[in-house]
Amino acid sequence: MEAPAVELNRLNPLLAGAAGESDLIPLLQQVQEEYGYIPPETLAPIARKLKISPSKVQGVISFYSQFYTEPRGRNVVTVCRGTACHVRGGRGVLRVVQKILGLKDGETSEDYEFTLETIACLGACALSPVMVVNGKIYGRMNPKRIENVLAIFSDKDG
Amino acid sequence: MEAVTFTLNGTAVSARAGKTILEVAREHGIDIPTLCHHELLRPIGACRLCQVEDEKRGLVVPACVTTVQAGMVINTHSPRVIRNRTNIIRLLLASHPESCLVCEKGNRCELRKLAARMGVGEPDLDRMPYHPTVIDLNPIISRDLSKCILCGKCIRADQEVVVEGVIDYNKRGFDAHPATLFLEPLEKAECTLCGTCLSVCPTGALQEKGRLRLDYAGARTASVCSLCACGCSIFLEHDHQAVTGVSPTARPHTANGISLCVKGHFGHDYLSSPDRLRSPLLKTEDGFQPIGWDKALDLAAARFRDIAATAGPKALGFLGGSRSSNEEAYLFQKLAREVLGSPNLDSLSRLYWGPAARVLLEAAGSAAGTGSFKDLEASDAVLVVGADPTRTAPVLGYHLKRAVRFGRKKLILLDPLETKLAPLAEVWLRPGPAADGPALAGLVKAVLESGAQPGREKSGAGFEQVSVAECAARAGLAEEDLRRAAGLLAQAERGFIVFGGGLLQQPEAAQLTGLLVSLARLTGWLGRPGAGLLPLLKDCNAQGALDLGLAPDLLPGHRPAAETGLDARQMVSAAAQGRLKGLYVLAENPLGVLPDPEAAGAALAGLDFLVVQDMFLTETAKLAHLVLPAAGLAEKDGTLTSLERRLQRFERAVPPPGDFPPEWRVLTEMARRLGQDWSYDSAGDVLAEIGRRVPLYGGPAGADLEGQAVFWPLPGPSETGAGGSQALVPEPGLSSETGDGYPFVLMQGHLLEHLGGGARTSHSRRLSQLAPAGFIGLAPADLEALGLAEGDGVRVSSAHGQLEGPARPDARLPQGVVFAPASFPGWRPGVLFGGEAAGLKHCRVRLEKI
Repeated sequence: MEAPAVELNRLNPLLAGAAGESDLIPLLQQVQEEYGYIPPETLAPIARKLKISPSKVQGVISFYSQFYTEPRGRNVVTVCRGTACHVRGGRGVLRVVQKILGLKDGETSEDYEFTLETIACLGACALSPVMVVNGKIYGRMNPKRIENVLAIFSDKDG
Repeated sequence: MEAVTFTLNGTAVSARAGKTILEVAREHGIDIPTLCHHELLRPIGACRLCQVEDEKRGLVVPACVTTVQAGMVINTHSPRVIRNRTNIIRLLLASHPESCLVCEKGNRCELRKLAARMGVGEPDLDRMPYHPTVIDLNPIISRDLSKCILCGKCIRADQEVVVEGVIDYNKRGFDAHPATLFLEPLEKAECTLCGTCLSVCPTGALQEKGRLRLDYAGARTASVCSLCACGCSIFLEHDHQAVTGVSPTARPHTANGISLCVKGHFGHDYLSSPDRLRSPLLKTEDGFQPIGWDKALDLAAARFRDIAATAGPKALGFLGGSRSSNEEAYLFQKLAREVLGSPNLDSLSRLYWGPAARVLLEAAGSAAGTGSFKDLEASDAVLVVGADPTRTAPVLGYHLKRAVRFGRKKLILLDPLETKLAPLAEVWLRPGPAADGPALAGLVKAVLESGAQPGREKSGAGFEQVSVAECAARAGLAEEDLRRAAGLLAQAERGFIVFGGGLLQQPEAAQLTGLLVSLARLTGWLGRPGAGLLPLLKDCNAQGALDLGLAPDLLPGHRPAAETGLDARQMVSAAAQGRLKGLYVLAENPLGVLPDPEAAGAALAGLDFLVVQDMFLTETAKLAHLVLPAAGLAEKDGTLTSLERRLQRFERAVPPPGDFPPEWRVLTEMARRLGQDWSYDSAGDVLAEIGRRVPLYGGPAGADLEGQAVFWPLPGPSETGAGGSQALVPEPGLSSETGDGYPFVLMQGHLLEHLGGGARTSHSRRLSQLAPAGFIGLAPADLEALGLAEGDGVRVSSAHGQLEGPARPDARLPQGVVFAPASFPGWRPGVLFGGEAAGLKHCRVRLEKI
């Protein structure tokens, strides 16, 4: 399956509210909300609208880890690699998730169903080891629970 | 300005408030090392080498971004500061490759120089190399980002000076580096390869490819770039034998500061071309034969004297000077007028700006633009008409882009082409090709009707019958856009109208310039200091040649000639009819510029005696009976006058490729052989005479040309003429040409990489690699409609001739318009132009795939 083609007309309403360089970061956040990531095709129109150079837009995007320049999966799985999770088997959690999804850290599946990421610490150490799927925290993970949780999302919408 | 007193290294000093510690320290001769600082770039405090100790607060602060405060106690060389600086250098070296021995920056590397000066050798730190992945294939600039120290000078040069925005920081922390969009190599990014980044890069991260030698050659001579009319101040680096490199002089009062363009920075390798002429050549039955100078000068003098004696002085013509020095131009006209008595005198730059110059003379009192680049940057609004300074006068383009980007000035663009200025324009008026006449008339009327100029001159006379709506319709513009543009222009207190080849090369150039004059009067810009009109001249001494009388109707100093001689095109016709028998062409190539070069070639070939003096055997030189070699700008002394009216001196740095005298001496020798007692021993002697005899140059000729900006003065507002206005609405051009069977309009124009007809730039190895050959540019939609792919052969036919070349998409073009560059010897779009009244800009054509 291919990444969905970028519909640039979805950008226009977002651009309408932006005027100058100071609007860059809020605009990039909106674009990412709209597309799930910041498609490279949008850099030139964004730069033109804000009257800055496209290389500057790229510079800002690449500076912040919150911005993504590649399409992400419908479901984003984040495994915690913090100290508390680590001592309670966080590395094993990551290994199991990688095996089930067939993805390495930072990768997205070919069918754009899953993206796997790690995070330094979620702050939910009491529940360790933890992972997050689409913003919802799942604590005290073990191989069986991991399989169950991921199964919920794999089944959804076929 | 308020003064601040503080303690600097134990001494009380006072300085103007707002100055940085670095500035004040340097004024007091204290040496603070820097890597990221450049006085012509915004300080950012990135490298931290300039840190100094603020003893009262117990802090170290970066001197380049810290302003002086009263009562501060600053120590620039405390043990703590020295230790920190040394550690910064050690850390920089730890992440820098150990390839100094083979690094092409050689002894020009600032990091290495600084480390050596500060006593830092092996850093004794774990190495942290960076492995870059981008490879640049262009022939000009190579990047090795493993040597980048993140000083950000290249980024600031690109964004603040050149205003291209091709590079910016990418990523963060150890991964951070300057990068193009999508990490493309420079040649695929929108980089113009001006090399301004290269000039400021302190290390080997940015390198110039193709240098004759890698190190600093040992000598440098201040000079002036002659590859357009901007008059950029340059250093010629040389080893007394050959020019090995060019760099900007980076002086604040110059036109260019730290910037240059790809031509000026990297095109001077034409000086070392093996094709340079080395000795006089006499045409014999066996082709050209080298002869000695004495013989050549004797022959030329004798033949000119014979023709003047038998057929009269008016059978002689003199053509040239727009690329010669002021001294040469002056002597050339003196030879023609005073020695041989011929009024037939012209320079080829007048082909495009003669009519406009005449209008400006009547309107503004002198045949020149009315302001400088600095004025332009300080004005409130700029109207650019038919000009693409980003190609033909790049440094003027930088000023313009800076004015819009950072000065928030309003740019109004009137151009059928989507030039690089279009995205910056507040209003972009895009008339049909050659429809500038109605567009400008509509603009004048709309300014009149905007009513925003109380008390301004009643220049509306003649426009009573003009209707904005009708003009807009005829120009193919929206009336609303015209009125919006007019409103912005009418509100601007000080503004400029920059106009170039797109307008100047039309047959109606005089009328169109007249409309611009009307507009400049209505807005009140004409006659106001630092405002008015600025024609975009192309050749390095187009202004100087006209100032010094290389025109059939103007004597030196723009004074009217008693008798008007033949202009360039009339000389060619007279040659064809046998009325002109002898012609001296000085450093110009008429066959590369004139319309219908075949007919012109036949006419020149029929002359009794044709002398061509040039650096290369041009198309015109090949027809000559006698060819004289010319010296390059690096090989002689003289002055040039830029399109700003800026007078600048250049000096001999290297010897010419053969044993020959500079042109001013050739002209002097020729005059002596014709019985004159010319006694100039140097170019300076000639300039001194110019200063005495040409009032315009009276002050400037004696001024200090190195230490300050020198412009010849404009007449005061009271002397500004009343003429020059134009109230007619010119018909759109090309109306006399039938459209039947010729559905496209061809525009002849220029490329960034080449100057004019390419007589010199085509001999630059690097520029030729960048832009090697002619092509036919088409709007992408036209390319598709014609079933053409890039590179397919196209035949362009007009009523007068045919031209073949590969097709190339050109996104600047509207549909129905094709573009052909005029810069390639042997490939001349001029063949498509013909007829007495032909312009040099547009003609109707049809296209076929071949």
